[in-house]
Amino acid sequence: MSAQAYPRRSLLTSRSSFLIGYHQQQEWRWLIATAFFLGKVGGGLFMISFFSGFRLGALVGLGVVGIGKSSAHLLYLGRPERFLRAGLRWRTSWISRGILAMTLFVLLGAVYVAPYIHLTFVPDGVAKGFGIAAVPFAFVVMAYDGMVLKASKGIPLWDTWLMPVLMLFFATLAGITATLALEVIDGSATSGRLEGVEIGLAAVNVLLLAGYVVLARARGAAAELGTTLLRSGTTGRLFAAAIVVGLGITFVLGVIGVATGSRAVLVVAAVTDLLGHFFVFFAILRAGVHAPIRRLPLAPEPASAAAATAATVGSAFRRAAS
Amino acid sequence: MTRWGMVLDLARCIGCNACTVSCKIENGTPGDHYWARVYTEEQGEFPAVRTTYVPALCNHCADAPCVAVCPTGASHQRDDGIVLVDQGACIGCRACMMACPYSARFYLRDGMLQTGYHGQERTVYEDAKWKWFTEGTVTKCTFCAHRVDTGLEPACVVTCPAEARIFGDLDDPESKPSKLIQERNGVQPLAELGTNPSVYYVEGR
Repeated sequence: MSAQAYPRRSLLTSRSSFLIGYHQQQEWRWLIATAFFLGKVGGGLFMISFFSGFRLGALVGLGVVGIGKSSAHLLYLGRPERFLRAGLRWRTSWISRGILAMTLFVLLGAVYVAPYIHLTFVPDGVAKGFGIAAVPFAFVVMAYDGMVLKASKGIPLWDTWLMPVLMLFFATLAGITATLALEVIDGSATSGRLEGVEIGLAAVNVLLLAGYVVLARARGAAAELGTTLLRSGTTGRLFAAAIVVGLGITFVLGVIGVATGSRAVLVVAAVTDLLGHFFVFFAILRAGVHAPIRRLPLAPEPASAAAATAATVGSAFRRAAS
Repeated sequence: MTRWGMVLDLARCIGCNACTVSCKIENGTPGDHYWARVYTEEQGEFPAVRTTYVPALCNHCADAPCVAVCPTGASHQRDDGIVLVDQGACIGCRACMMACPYSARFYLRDGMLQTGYHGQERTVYEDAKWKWFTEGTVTKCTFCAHRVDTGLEPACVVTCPAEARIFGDLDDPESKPSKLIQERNGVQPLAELGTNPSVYYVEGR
């Protein structure tokens, strides 16, 4: 498909305009992006740290979810005082399932890290058992936001099984880079294996993201328009920069880290990964487009200067007439 | 079993927005919350332009995605198919707004109920109507459940001067909307999404 065949950005209308058309979602922005980000980073950090036996990482991961993600959600809610109700509909709602998973994750994980913070009344064997029990819930925390987006039928760009997969892979990469950085800061020895996985995962995430954008075009005009937003304008520039910084530079830094054995590089790689990670999903949230209630034909951008002039004159006439 | 539904006749709608206004008056919706809308759809290029008016409202879907994603149960469906939001249970997460393919839900932002529609003090009318709303929650068309429960039709239906909105029981094959759907091949909006809306559109005769 040539670039000119993509849907026109000009098809976007304001929701309040009473004109039939596509409109960008305006509700889920910074705070929801932050909550999603902290859930993935915290869950991933706990998971990777648990399997590395690095309890400081597990403790930080718990804090990121228990304090960071929860606070972002509470700040976003219209009626935060009713937040306890959010766990009631776990049979159908992924938000409910996620809230329950977060709660169990934090409770079980807290017992796992108890010996590390000198709460010695918890025997180490028992703590490890609780840690094992917390792992499945950490897994859910890493991926459930993807299921929440998948369930958003009003935004075809998000309504795909690739969304939870993307979330899981990005969460794992964030967990690895954050674990490595914390190990360096803490002065602990890094395993040496995680650095290789970090490089591989950065490459896999690029492919997954490319596949997500390419396949999105097949999910209807609103999704196609969403991918147009991801390729152009402010959102497009943000998305591109996030991929370059978050995956490209992280990949290069990972290779340099493995080649030189430099530990400082791992900390920088964590910063670039986390920065890019946040803005990739922020851009995906921003590019969420609601479809009109009736199918609209998707005209290509005017190919020639004459056609562009005609379109401009036409729209000026329509504005004047209205 | 009753399943309330509506047929919107695009051949009859004249785009007067009387339904929009009557809905706002009946339900006292705050600010820019217009539950019954009439969208303008332009087809063609100047000078060969044709305008179609597309009335819209919540489709009260049988398989409502907004109800499924609601984490509190605030969005719920009655046995007669009407989908409602319990303002006392909604936490304002807005997942239902993302799930609704018809953009039929509205968020009541903080401060919207503090001043009147015209930006001054609230009127007696607003005081009376707005007690049903809570800031920080989501609102939507109720199919005028309070009227339907007393045997009346929704306000938008009785107000429409062109009889472009036809309300009735979709489970009754003899009802007016059921017959219209059969006779004029009524279509549900975005039916391919599997939401099974209770609102149908019919076009020219």
